[in-house]
Amino acid sequence: MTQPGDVGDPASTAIAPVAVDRFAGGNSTLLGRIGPLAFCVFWLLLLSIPFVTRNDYIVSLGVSFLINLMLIASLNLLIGYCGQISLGHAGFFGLGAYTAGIVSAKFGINPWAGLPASCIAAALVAVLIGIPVLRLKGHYLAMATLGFNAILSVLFNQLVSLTGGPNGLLGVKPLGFGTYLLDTQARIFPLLWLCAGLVMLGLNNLIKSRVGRALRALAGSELAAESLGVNAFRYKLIVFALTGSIAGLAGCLYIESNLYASPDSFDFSVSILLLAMVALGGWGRYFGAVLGALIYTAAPEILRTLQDAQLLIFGAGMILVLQFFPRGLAGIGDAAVRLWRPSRS
Amino acid sequence: MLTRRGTIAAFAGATFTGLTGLRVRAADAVRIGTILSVSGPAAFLGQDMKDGVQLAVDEINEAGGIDGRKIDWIFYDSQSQTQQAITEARRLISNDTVDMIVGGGNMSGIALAIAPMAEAAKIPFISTEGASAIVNPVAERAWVFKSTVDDYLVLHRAADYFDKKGLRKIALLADTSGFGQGAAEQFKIVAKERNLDAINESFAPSDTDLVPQLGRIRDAGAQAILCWTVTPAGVVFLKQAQQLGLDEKLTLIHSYGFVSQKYMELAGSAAAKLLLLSQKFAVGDQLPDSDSVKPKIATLTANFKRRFNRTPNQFVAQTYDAVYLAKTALAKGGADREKVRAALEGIHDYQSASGIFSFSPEHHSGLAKSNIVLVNWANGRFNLADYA
Amino acid sequence: MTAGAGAEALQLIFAGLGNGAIYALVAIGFNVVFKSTGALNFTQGEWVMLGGMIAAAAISGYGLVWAGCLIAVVIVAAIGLVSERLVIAPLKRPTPMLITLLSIGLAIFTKSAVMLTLGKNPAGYPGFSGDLIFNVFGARVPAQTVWIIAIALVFMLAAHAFYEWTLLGKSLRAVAADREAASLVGINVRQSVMWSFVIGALAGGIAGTIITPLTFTSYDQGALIGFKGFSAAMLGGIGSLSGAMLGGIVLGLLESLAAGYVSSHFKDAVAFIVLLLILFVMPSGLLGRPSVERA
Repeated sequence: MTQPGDVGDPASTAIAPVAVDRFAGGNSTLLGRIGPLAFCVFWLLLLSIPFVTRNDYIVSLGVSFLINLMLIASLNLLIGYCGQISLGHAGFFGLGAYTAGIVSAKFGINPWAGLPASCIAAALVAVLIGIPVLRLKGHYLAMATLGFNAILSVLFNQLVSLTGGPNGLLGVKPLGFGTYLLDTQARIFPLLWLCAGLVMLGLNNLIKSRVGRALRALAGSELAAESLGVNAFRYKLIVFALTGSIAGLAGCLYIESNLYASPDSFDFSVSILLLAMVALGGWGRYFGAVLGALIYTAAPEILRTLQDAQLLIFGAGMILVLQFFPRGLAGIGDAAVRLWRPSRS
Repeated sequence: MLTRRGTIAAFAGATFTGLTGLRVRAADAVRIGTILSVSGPAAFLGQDMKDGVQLAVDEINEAGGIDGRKIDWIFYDSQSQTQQAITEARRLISNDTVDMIVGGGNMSGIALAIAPMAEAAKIPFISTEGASAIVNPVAERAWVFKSTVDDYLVLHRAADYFDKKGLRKIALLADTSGFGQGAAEQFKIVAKERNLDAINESFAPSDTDLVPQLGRIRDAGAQAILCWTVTPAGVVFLKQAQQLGLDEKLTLIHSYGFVSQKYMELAGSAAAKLLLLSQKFAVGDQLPDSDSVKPKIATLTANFKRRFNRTPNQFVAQTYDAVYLAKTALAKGGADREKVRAALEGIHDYQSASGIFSFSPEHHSGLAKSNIVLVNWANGRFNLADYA
Repeated sequence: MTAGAGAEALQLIFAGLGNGAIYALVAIGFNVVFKSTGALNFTQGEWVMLGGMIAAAAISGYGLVWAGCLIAVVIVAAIGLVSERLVIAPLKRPTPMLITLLSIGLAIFTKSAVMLTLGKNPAGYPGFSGDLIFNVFGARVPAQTVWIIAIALVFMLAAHAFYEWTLLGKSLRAVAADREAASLVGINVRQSVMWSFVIGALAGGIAGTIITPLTFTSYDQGALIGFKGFSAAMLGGIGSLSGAMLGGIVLGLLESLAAGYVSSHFKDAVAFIVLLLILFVMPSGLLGRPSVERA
């Protein structure tokens, strides 16, 4: 009955045995084969949303999906490829949102400045946290990001003159080109579509690049990789900073699409939910993020009729999915391949 | 495999109906949308408020609707999350195309987020939340109204009591939610206007230890403490004030957000000396017969008990009255939204269980200071302690 | 004036100790599951909430505080057992990451199940000695705070004795030290995971039942206390029993003193900043093994 080595070793570097993604590297899975093409078609179809419907609500779901996708894909990079858990992703998200919001609402600077400002702010903070923490092996990133998120929540609530406090930040100026303002869901959608597309493309290239290869080597054996000259700390720091800046970008786009933000959207429970979405979609899988973002956006809408029971169903669903597909919903593709070609499993 | 395919089909079906929200609009119905938090940290208020809406809608429909048109009521749970509420407000506005929104998530922050959306879409929105900023400045909130009393007025009502008792040095202990911080802002203004010596302290709604704050308030020589919260931390405040012996020496007052039997029972003996700033609802039967609100409270109490088999509180009244305000305006304005909006602004001396409402183009929160009384808790019920 | 300042400091210290003892209990629960699985258990805080909610329901039904609390603790431990059997035990490859992620699902499920069965209202009950308050050199200390500190200490000693002197305790330690070696000498590793969940739930349940008379609880309070417990465990040195105790107490005192002497508005931020600074300087925690590797 006992299976030695089954339960992971608590003393190991990271709590995740790092996944090796098939989409970015090879093409041995179902998704790996049809994935890229299907994904491109899906992405082009997505752009049509604001043009085929005048229903602001449906477009806003598209906007939410794109923001969630950026958040979940970046967190997935950290968890799935670095094996590091962050409990503060919503903190970076909020940092980006408030940076961009304050730039335009309080300092009256052109809202476009918010885009680089929020990315840079989030990346800087990530580096600041990462330098002391990522040198250590263990759960230190989880602890540090949890603390970071808690500190930010306090600041969002208490720095009332800057953030508007618990009632939220009002008066954010919309992005625009001259007099054409991106002040409705339909008008800002193409910008989000572009940004999220670039992020997804960038992540795909990153995974295939030298950094991606180094991460995979580290995943195999950190010791072996280091003896070959891979600087584990440096790569983890790069990925963490990148993760933070993508979340910051998502935050900027979030506040520009709502022209409002309040602290409760960025507290640690949101960080946990994002983590759950990475898990459900499929951690360490490129398409896992897409599935995770779809679930995160659609689940509340679909489960709404269940009213009070919706979180119960969600929790139970999450447990069942992970029990049967430990690599999340993206793992269903693998299972399908195994059924299809049992001999080569 | 078959069951899995069935599940997928069901899932897809749910997605479709869920996303498109295909809902057949009853011919010639009035559509009212409601957003309240019946889950998440604010849930304990949300359920009462939702039941208040439910009761009013059912009553109106049973009585034949609004000028013969039935109310088609759409309810969404905002789960105490602003983001959730924003999505739901968009859904009410552009998908469900409601005629009016009543209820803003029972959190001031949520109502503040919904208000500009209703304003932009030109849909009347009656907020059942507290913060004054929801309807102010009125110039930017032409379509937004509020069925609750302004903190500014409640604090002035408290100052009336302090004048009567000769109390000058007052500490405000507010939580860090929108509700508490809104009051903290107003308190600075009221303290100046009424020449009070103000002390400001705050706590997080999740806090379980207020000893440090209470110690500082005691050392500053406060004569009274005004606690502003709707969360269980308000019970911790009472217990720890008793622990430090403050209940013997100082006047302790809770805001109208804390008038809840459940909280008083949890506080036990620590609530013995407490006063609460309250709407008249909690002490309806003890009001003088000359008070025109008294019979309204009695009717709502009886109807609510019959329907839900429990005693209603002021939060029920808050939303119940809001629906009737909506009905009055919809009856007058008909299908023309601008006329409905104007009708809301024109409501004057409207008698309800929460008090007497008067709106005007300059004033979108309709309850006057005279609708607030001070109550205490004794013998297992709220009792009138200070009437006007 | 100095006497007043002294009494005020004492007042803050007692408040900090009371909360700290609770954080310590939660941290122990965290540690026990961590040692046997390598996972961060997000359900830990929900067990604390469960302890308080079930005890409140039992006490409002039957009236006896002690009996209600005992029943609640037993039920929570049983829930820990059932959770592990249903959620963790069936896994083919229970990696630490998978268990961590599953515990998030379990926490969401537990929380909403409590909301549906025990309701959304905050719950509480009288302390073990009613509203009795002691006067300690001018500081006023509720008897319940004394109960909390005492019960936490007793639990700590009992846990120590359990790990040192019982066969089950020893086998759990063996698994924590070296899984493969333990399984080679015939220890059932899978079963040790089950017992760690029971002990974790037990610690959480006890913490929940003894703190609720002071702070009250409601179905959504679990996550916050869970994170405080995790912080305490990290601060003390994750995996260390006495470290958990010390970490909890230090965190409790930090919060209380920050609120008292720095600012009630920023107290959580102050507490976390100090906590992070300590960890940056002493990565293995206050009492952890000095074996943290630097890369």
